[in-house]
Amino acid sequence: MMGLELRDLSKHFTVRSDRGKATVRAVERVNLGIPEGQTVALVGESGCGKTTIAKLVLKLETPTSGAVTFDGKSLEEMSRKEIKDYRRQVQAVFQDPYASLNPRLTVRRIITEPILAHYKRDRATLNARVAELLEIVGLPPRAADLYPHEFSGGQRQRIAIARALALNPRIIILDEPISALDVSIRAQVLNLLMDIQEKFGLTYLLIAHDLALVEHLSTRVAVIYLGSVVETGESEQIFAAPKHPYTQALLNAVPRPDPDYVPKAAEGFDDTGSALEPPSGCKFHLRCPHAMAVCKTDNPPLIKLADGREAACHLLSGPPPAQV
Amino acid sequence: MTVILAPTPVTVADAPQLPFLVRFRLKGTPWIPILILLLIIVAAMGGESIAPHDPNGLDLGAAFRPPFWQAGGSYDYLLGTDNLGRDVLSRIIAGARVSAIVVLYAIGFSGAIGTMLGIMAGYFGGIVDMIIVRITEIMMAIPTLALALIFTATMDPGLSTVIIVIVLTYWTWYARIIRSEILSLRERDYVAFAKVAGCGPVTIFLRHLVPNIFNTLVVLMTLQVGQVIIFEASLSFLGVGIQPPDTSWGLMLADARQYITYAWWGITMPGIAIILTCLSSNLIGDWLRDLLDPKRRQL
Amino acid sequence: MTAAPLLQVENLQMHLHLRRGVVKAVDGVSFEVHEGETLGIVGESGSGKTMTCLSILRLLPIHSDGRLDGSVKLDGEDLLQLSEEDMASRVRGPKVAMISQDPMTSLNPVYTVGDQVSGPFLYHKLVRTVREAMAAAAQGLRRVRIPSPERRLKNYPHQFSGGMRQRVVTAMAIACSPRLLIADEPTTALDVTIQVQIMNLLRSIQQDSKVGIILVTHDLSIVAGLCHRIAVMYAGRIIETGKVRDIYRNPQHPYTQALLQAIPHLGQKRSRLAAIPGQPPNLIDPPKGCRFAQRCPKRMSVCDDYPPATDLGDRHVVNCWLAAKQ
Repeated sequence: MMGLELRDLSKHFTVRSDRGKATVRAVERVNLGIPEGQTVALVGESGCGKTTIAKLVLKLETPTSGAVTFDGKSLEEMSRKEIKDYRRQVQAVFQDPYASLNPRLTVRRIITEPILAHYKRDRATLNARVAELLEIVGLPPRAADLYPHEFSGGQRQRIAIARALALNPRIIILDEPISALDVSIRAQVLNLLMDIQEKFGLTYLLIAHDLALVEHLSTRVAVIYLGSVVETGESEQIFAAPKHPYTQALLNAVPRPDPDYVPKAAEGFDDTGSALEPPSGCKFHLRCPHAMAVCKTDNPPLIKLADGREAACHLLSGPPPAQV
Repeated sequence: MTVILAPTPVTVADAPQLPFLVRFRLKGTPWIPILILLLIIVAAMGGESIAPHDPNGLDLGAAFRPPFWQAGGSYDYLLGTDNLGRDVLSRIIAGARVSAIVVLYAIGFSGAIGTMLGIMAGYFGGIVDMIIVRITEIMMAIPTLALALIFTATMDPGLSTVIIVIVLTYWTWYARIIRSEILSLRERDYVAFAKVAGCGPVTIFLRHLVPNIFNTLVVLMTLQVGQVIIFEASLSFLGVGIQPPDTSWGLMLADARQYITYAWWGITMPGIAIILTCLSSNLIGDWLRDLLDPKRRQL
Repeated sequence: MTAAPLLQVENLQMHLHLRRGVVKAVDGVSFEVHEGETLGIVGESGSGKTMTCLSILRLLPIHSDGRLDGSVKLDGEDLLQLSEEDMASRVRGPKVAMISQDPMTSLNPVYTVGDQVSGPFLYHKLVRTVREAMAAAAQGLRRVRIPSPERRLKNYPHQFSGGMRQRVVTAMAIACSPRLLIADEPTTALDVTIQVQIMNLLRSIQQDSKVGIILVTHDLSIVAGLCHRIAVMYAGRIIETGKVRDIYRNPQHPYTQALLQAIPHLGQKRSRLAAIPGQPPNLIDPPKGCRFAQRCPKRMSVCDDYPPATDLGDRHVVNCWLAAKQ
């Protein structure tokens, strides 16, 4: 398969707690394809493992088991040269534009860094490229010689986007690209992201907790709960009719800018559910309003539903097969 | 798409771009501290040859002369004389050399060793980190003065012993602080991004880590100037540091201590020299830090 | 609305004197909050919404030379005229309490939750003994619906989740039954599912105690469900204020309109958003006229003068020449 794919991807961390060592199952057997030209969103609450998945894809972490594959080849099996090639194809934009730009470098050096890591270019070519990239992201040419602190958050995020585009990548990982920005600036950056996707035919892997943003930007969604995918499919299907109780609870809780809309609270929800000691069976059963006996013992597999999406819930797998 | 770069809030994006050196300008340059430090450097280099008197020239007849502005003082001995009639000013000038040598070597070596080990500990982590951290902890558990006494018992007391003791004590300081600095820098998004961009470890190290510990290093080093001078003074004071006939500011303090009640200048003058040096180096350190930081440079 | 308002802020100004110049963080803000009413103050970061709240409590940022002007009347008493001791002993806590954004930093990690929640009771001498204070603290935790409060009192903050910590902070804030509760982005650091719970908690506390609430946020979705009235701030000034329905259904100021269009919300298909171009103005040297004019799609030549407040009825007030002309 072309493009990125997560195959049975797991990442466990060992932490020391009061009671000795414990294993955090940050990512647990995730299977997900990221088709070319699409925007695939990973949605979930803080601590669900979505950022760890991004780090695995960016090869900033190594998986415990399973693999991230690119054009059919596992990142772990790639040679040094292939990794370098992969780095050229897959770039990233991070959440905090204040932390993602080195304060001691000028914008020109920040943007040319990825280019110089791969190619030898003379100054004139580089300068032309910087000017071109700045124009794409809507910054004036004189921005090149300023330092990051001279820009506002939105402008910094534009610089980060210019840097991500510098190598003409195929895929960009967007880790909460607008959540650190001012409300009135968010739309500018969102529109820019949509424009460049169209212009350069980019594939996006979007990491976000804001469901409104996800619905707005993504074509496909994977809902993550405590490290596992609980529901995945076309964005439109999932937002129109969520099937998994967790997706439902999540969508119901989102407030809307409408005084007559009252978000529904799931009062039983506590945010203490942790990947450190996931409950047995379905990880969601402690918070699930429809929990059944089987949910406490068996972890439901992801099953393909009639409309093409996949969900992991005993409610959807039909009645358990009759005992003969 | 209509994106306008409006004047950004509270920034100076519109400031005309001045040439590098002009941007540094001389605004806020701490002239007085620089002058003081220059004087001390001149004194350290000139030493005895520019001193008005022989710093070790005994003249018991001229003992305990007060500074020139007090009754009984003369312009011959500007800052007075000590119990053996030695000119205080000349001894301060001669002592500047010892202090300067101690400061340069001690800071140079402890800074280099500590920074290197700190960077290694922070960057590589794991077993390297553990070994270095354990060594620093052991070093810090040894009382400095005990260490000094052991060294003077086994080696000749003197300049090189003082430097060795100071280096052994102070490198842990750098190592620990630089280590934690590197640990936090390593987790910065721009370091992660440099990896994503395909930069090798050397590039990441030189471009993203080293320049960002510079601030800390400059501040640590300038703070240490004062501490080293005082440390040398305490060692000399205890008799395990600089040995006569060499002199240092610390030794002057030690010698003059018993006459403090009727010859205040003997202890005050070298004291002032120490204070001025420490203060100047700290102020220059602050200025250097601002100068090297793009965020503050243009304020 | 004939009853005197609980809080009446008039022409409040807070200017911070910095090395770079005078930052007019709050520049002539007037509003009122009635008993049992929730006012949402909405604005971007740097619009002065947090500074407005800190000014009510007379808490200025450390290391800055700030100046407060105008009047802040709580039950008819001008807080800006009180002595610092009066503010500390009579106002902060018993009358006005605050919940801040980050539940991680608003609790001290070295004390148990019991020690911290019982603090206000002891400090304001509502109880005499530590034992009584602990009982009151347990009662406080029960009010914010923390399960098994007696046991939880002995726990340290790190043993609580983010949502639970925000409940603890809320319990501390309402310990002395304040008249006014200022909640500064109380849910920003929390997950959506927990966010709703905290909102519901604030609503039920208000129903029980008739406390007036000022809810400060940048998120127009959160205020929609909870507030009675809304004040939209931009660059240190309130530019539109009114009942929640009027603001959402019939926004008059171009900034409010643009803001409502510029946020993606659920039920919206993949499409371009109507972005607001440019950046908010510099608060050291703000434009003389309407502060939004530079980014406004409906800008006119009169916008070089500051628009007067126009009352559209039912306390829907807007500072825009478009409304003034009609």
